[in-house]
Amino acid sequence: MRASGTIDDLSAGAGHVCWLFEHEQALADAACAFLRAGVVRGERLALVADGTTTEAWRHALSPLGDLDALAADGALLLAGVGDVYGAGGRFDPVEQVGRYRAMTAQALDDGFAGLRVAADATAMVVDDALRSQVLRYELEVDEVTAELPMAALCAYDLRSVGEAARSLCAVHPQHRRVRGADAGFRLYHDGGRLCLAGEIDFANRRLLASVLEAAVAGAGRDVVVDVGRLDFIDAGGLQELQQLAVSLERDGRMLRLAGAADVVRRCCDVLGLAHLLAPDTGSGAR
Amino acid sequence: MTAIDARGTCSFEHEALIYGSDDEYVDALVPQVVEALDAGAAVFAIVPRRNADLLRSALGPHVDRVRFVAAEDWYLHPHATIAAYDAVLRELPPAASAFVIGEVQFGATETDWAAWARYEAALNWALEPHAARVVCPYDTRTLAACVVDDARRTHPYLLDGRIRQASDAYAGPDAFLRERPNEVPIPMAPPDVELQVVDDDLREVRAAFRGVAAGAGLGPSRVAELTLALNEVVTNALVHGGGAARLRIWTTDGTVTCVVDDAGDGSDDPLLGYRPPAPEAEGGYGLWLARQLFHRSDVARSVDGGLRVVLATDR
Repeated sequence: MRASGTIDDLSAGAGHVCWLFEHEQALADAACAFLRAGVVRGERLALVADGTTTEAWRHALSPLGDLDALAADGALLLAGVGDVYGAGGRFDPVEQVGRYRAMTAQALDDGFAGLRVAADATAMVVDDALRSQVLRYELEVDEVTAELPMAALCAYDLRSVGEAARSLCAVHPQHRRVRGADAGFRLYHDGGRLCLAGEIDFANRRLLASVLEAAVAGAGRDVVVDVGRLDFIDAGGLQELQQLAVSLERDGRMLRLAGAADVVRRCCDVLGLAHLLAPDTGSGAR
Repeated sequence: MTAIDARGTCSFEHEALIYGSDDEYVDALVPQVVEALDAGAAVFAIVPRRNADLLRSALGPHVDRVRFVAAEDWYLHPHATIAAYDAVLRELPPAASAFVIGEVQFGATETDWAAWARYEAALNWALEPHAARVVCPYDTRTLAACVVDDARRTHPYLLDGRIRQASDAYAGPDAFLRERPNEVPIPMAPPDVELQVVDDDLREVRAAFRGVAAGAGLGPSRVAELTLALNEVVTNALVHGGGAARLRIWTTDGTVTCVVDDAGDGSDDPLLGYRPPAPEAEGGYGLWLARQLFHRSDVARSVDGGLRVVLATDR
């Protein structure tokens, strides 16, 4: 089962982390700590950030080893933010996810244990054209990190993300503990399923609905959310999910909840929402 | 969709049959069952097993068209029973009606009798949206006289043999519940937990309750249910009750008691939480859920004039 929740120590080799940072030094330190876990594991490293050739960055990254040698060996790939998140419509989330899959396969072919990416993704939130796609993009990247030996640190500048902080953290299994940025729930892939963890109540149920809606928008297929890891959901939360189900139905898509605990089943019965529950194969009972 | 959605002449009828012998029982009920079946109603007999046998023997060819449910399994908890009736009646096809023989199991103690009497009174309101006729048999051989007397106060009609008569002593749900308030006892000792809840941080409320409930020996599944119920009541306080609530939780002698006092305008309606909200309504399930999940519940006016909800569970 994937680790989920807040994370402070990046050296343990986490899989997909949302890292909100306050200034460039914090970004560099986090990128280094995250990538260093990959050195130990024999993974190919990739860093997407601006200014990585500056002295400040090179100093921050020095724990990784001889940066020039790593680059020459193809063990460390460097790219600028604009190279990946090209402004003005050059960024295609679907293409980028495909690129990560290909890069991971290539890393394995080249004898590495996998691919570990640290990226300053702030541009995705700042760019008007990209902002509406960021949640969906993150969830699709998450699917890759769950399926393949790819790990990603998605760093976002706190000064730029504003209200989006909670949503961004919500679509990663793990995030850095930052005051006010915890949505109280997390949506991520595990065991081939889209899982929802955390607690849903009056404070965050609207946020859940909007994050989930944005995250599955345009994917064109049915949505099954495994709620077996939810520690709590209130009646209003289930009703928000029902509203989303109704909205998806208009596009010919189904939303179903799998692995519901007994109390969730009972609540659905009382609310007349038993149809929201997927016919279960018996997982998640507690 | 059932008759509940076809606004218009929804007719809920509630009658008591006071009987003293097996013959009276069968003679009164079988013709009613046959008449109801002939009229196309869905017929349910929620009666004790012994009485089910009596009815089965007397129904002849009609027996297969009656749905029997053991009353010993049905009448476990007043609010859960109301919810079960509501669910069954909602499942009827549109324009269908139901005829129900519902023989309340009053239990062993006066506290139980009082709880079921309140249930009988509230039923007149709780199931009012449904096209159903519920006949409640009262056995004078086994029930206390006060329980039988209450039947006349909680049912608008009495079935005397085959004749239906208005009950002169009928009080109406509101009046009866005011006459016989529930009063779940609030412990005198200082509470195990006391919280002033002002923001949206219901997580603290849930964590506090879980701690107390687990400490009182409640199993995880039960703790989860009750946490949901309490969360709903506190959410109500924040949303509808002036945005603030005082929560106190006690655990005493195997009972967990929660009192939620809100900062709103309160209510004098003793029937709050006895009916589910209308399908079109947004929310409104809080008290309906909480009353089913806790063993005992009370809604009253708090000392400061807001709403006070008292919830209690035994192990």
